[in-house]
Amino acid sequence: MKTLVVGWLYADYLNVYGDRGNVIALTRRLEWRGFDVRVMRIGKGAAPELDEVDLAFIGGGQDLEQERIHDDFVATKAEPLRRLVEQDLAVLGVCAGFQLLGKAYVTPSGRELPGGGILDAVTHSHGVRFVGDAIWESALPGLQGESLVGFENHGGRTYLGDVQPLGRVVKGFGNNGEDGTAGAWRRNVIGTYLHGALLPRNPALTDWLIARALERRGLDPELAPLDDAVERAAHGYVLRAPARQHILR
Amino acid sequence: MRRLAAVWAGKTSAALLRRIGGGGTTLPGRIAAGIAPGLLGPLLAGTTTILVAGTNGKTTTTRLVAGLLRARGQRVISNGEGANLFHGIVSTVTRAADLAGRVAADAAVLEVDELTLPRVVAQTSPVLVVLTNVYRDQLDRYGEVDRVVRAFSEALALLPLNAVVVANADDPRLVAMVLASGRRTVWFGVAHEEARREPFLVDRRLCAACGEMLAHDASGFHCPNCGFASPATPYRATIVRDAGPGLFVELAGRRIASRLQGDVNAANVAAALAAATMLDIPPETAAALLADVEPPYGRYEFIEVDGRRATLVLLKNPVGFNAFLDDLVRRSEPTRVLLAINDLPADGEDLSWMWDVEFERLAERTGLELIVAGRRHEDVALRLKYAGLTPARHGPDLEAALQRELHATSDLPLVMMCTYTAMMQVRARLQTDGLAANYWSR
Repeated sequence: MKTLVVGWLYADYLNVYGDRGNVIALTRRLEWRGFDVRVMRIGKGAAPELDEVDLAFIGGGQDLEQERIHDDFVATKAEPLRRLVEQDLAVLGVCAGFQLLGKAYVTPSGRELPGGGILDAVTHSHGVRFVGDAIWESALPGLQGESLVGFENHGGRTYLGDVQPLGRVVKGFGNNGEDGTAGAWRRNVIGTYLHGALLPRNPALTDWLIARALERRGLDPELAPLDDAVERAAHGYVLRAPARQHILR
Repeated sequence: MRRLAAVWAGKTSAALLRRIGGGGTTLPGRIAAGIAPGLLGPLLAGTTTILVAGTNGKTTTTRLVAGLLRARGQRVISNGEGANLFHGIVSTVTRAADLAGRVAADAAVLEVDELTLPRVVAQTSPVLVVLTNVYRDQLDRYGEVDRVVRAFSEALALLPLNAVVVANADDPRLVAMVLASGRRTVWFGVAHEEARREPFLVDRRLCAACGEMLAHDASGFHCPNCGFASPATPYRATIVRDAGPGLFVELAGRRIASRLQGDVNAANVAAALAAATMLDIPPETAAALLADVEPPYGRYEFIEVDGRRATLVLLKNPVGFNAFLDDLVRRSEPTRVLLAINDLPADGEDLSWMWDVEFERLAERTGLELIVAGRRHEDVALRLKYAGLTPARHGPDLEAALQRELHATSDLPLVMMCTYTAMMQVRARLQTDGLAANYWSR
């Protein structure tokens, strides 16, 4: 049986928002297709084991935890990740994970910290948080026009440079509350502000990431269909839910 | 004059609300504080004031401390209904005042919402502030956990100089903040093997001083990198297993029997004993009196339903939820489990945290029948699916589920795990069906 490796970066630091659900969703949907899955928790320090990873995930954390791993990410993870991404590694970054993948992060005091440089995006820290259910219309090849749902809670304002948005905002705030862009994608890398957790309620996106990982391994990316009735019902709740967006000062 | 008018308005509206059948827990306070915003301080001027705040355990700890003082013959006012926002507290105090604006009580034991604590401290002169813990909870409302820590820090800076802080020595962020405040502090904690298990630790992994990973043992946490550690803890409870029904702990050299259930309550018992000692109740007296305090409504509350055992538990964040799952896994009897999860503002509008609850652990537990109800039944069913579990049924209608579960022919014990508004709905149903007393009369 084929084994795929899900690399969970900073699992001990960036874990406050149920984003573990993304790792669970990737694991289960691979297992249900008959693959074995190994979840590899990758912490601080040099990480040569990144070369074994088929799918990399970075979750959300609080400002404090993010500060504490920022330098480590830039020093020890950014270079290998940039190289692997050019070799089509599938990567999902949520919230802090999205910001780390970007080119730079500007702190409240105006200091600009270099980021991972994997997505051409700059995030400005902001004291006022965007909170609430979100609906995006996907621009991802193969998932164009489909809805992505989640819950956003971020003080960061992210502005995209030479990179495609993952979609456009239908409901919620998106990257910065101004330009309607929602997340970012390049090659097989996705950055997003959506919690929820994101992947369990968006099985098509989960399968997109899995398919990219299989392709890269030279395996058939055509996935056996699953019964997604429960997933669709939970997805549908957000589509039907009344608008409840908050600006949290 | 303004103060008297406020008291009068608050009391009259409370009486009216009761007559028309509501609990009247916050509206009278809103009315009274609208007339005289600084009402709380003068009303409580002659009353020993104890405030309890923290993410988990504040309602139970408040009930324990108030119960101890009452058992000592003191006249105590307390917001036992859990109305812990500013207006709820003003309601509680106004109700206890006479029309001359005097509160006829020896002590006020008040549970206070985390972000409300600075405002309440600013208006009152508490002798004791009990801080239970700081976990992530309702991030859609609080933004980040650190915001709560900052609010606590602000509150401690406003305390009178002679006030004492009773704080949890096992919570790194709380310890760092309390130490920095320079306040006189009495520490409590729990020595518990399973407290080292990961779900308990999700919020306590990183050193609050240097950011490295902490190590945990029976005497608390310590940082292998910088040496930051739990302070010496005179009130550290050790859980005693299989000693009888209820929760048993060894604490300050004594065995304490309590009517509470669940390991999470060991910390609350320790906090209450520490607080009691600071209030000049001898520890042996406090230990004996604690055995008689009933749990507050909906917090590991036991209800006999036609001779069948039902448990009602309020669950609102992963730490509390995982602790309860531990208890559920430890017991082996067949059980029906009703998960009632809503997403109204009082519940928290976001359910992301359900993915940090280790439902996977239930897959190894036989004899459970899961029923899911409430506004977010689809999300719960989805979470269970990815944990390898299939609910027997799920749907939005909690009333229908309660009708079936409370009046079922099944004689299996029933566990009802609820978010806040779901718990209130269960409570109301129990009351309508004559299965439990009015909670605001307790």
